[in-house]
Amino acid sequence: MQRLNDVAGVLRLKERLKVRQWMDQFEKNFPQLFFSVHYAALDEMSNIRQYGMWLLNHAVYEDVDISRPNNGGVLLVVDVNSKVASISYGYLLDAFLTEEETFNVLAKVHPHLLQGNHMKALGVIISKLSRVLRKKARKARRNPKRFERLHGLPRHGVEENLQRVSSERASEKKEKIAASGSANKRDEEKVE
Amino acid sequence: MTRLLFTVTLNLVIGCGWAIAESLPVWSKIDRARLLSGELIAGADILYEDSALIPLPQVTPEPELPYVENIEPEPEYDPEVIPAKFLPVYFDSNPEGYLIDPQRLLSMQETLDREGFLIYHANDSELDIKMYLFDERQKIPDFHSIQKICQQRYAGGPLTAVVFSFLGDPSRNQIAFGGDGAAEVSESEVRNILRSSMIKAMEKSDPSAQLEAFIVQLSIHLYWLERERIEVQAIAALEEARDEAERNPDTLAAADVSAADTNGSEKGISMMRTYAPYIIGGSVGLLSLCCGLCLGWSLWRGSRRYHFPVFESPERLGASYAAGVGAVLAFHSELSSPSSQRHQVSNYLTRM
Repeated sequence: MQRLNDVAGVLRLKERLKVRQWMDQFEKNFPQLFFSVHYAALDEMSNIRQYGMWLLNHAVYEDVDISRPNNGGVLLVVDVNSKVASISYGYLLDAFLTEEETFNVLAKVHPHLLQGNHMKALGVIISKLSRVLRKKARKARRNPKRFERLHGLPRHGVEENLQRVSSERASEKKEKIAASGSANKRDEEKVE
Repeated sequence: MTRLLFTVTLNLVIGCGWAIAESLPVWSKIDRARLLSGELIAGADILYEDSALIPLPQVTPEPELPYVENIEPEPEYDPEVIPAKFLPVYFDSNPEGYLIDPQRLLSMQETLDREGFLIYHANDSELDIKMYLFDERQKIPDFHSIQKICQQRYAGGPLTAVVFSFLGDPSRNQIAFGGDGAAEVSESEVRNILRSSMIKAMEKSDPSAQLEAFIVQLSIHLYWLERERIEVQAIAALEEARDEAERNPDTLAAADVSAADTNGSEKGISMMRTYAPYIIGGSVGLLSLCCGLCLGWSLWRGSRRYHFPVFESPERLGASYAAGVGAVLAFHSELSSPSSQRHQVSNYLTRM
């Protein structure tokens, strides 16, 4: 897939070109990272958090250099059906990004997303996220041990999110099992 | 009684005898005829010269006077013609004073007053006034003119205002400029100066007062003309300095210093006008510099590389690359503000 994956078709051709320029600039500033966006029209049962995490782990980006693995990726998923946006990021940024910071970035573009101005929203997200990452990179260069300690400690946002994802997964499995169990019971009852 | 009668008779006799003795001689007929015919001259007997009787005085002969040619009488005064004897003073000599009045048209005191004011003006200004004074109806000879005088007498010298003033008729006055920079004084400026001075002069009735008013107004105009010339020269000097600075940047500071020295408090406004283009240019240059710095800074920041330290971390939930799940924001309704979504709860986005 491409870094800009506009399955929902919310961007025009010129806008897509401009977005690619922004992504190139992001990659130029952060040689270890890349930014990707996925405009999707998910079905009602999908969880955007799970979807983003799954996509970032399984996607193979054609237009990203092989020197930039997915653990340096930042993925913005926008579900145009449920009108929800989410940011996922790789292991490389675990110590440098928190849920609060990503939320602040998304909160900045809430008016643009409400108006359906996805191009403007994407530009602001890349800009704000770059600013946060620049600040973190400077701090990490001055005091890398601090981030190393933070990386070793259980982090509030990450752990909670992982718990959420795992709980969602577990509940889905239970539901599936329950559903399959009830179906088996019905089948058995029918058979009997 | 007898005695009285005797006395009276005696007096009569004496009186008659005295009257007979004192009576005039009477011409005889022959003498009278000779007298009328001219043969006899009365009294010729007493005019007879007799040196023996009366010695005559000796009379010395008068010396002969040298021969003097007849002096031609002075021609009658023509009010329209300048006497020929004054023409060389007017037109063929370089006058030393500022008031040229060989005909003595002004009184001594008036001459001193006007001359004094012209000297005062000359001391206060670099633009002198040469005032040629003529009578009211006198006409300038055809072979002389104010322009010719400017070219012949004042070319090459400092800028001088030459004035032909006709005492009693200021409407006939003439002004011309001679010397360095005379060509820079436009005809319209000369006309304006002359018209304004003439109007001021014609407000007076006395010829001397007219002349005074004319000179004062002319002096005022020349003061402003001189100010304009100074500004033009300053601009030209600055342009020259700028050109010089462009050719040789080292002289720029020296030019600035000399320019600063020449600036006076009185010429502050004019200097401001002079330097306004440079101030504006400097401001634009400074602004451009700031913009350039900002652009350079943004370009530098855009091209700057940021690296993150890599920390080994165990895989979570079996994810090979990413387990960093960031925030989720819903934008389906204007009522659900970002602040209301800040504290996200588990599964709050799961739609059932």
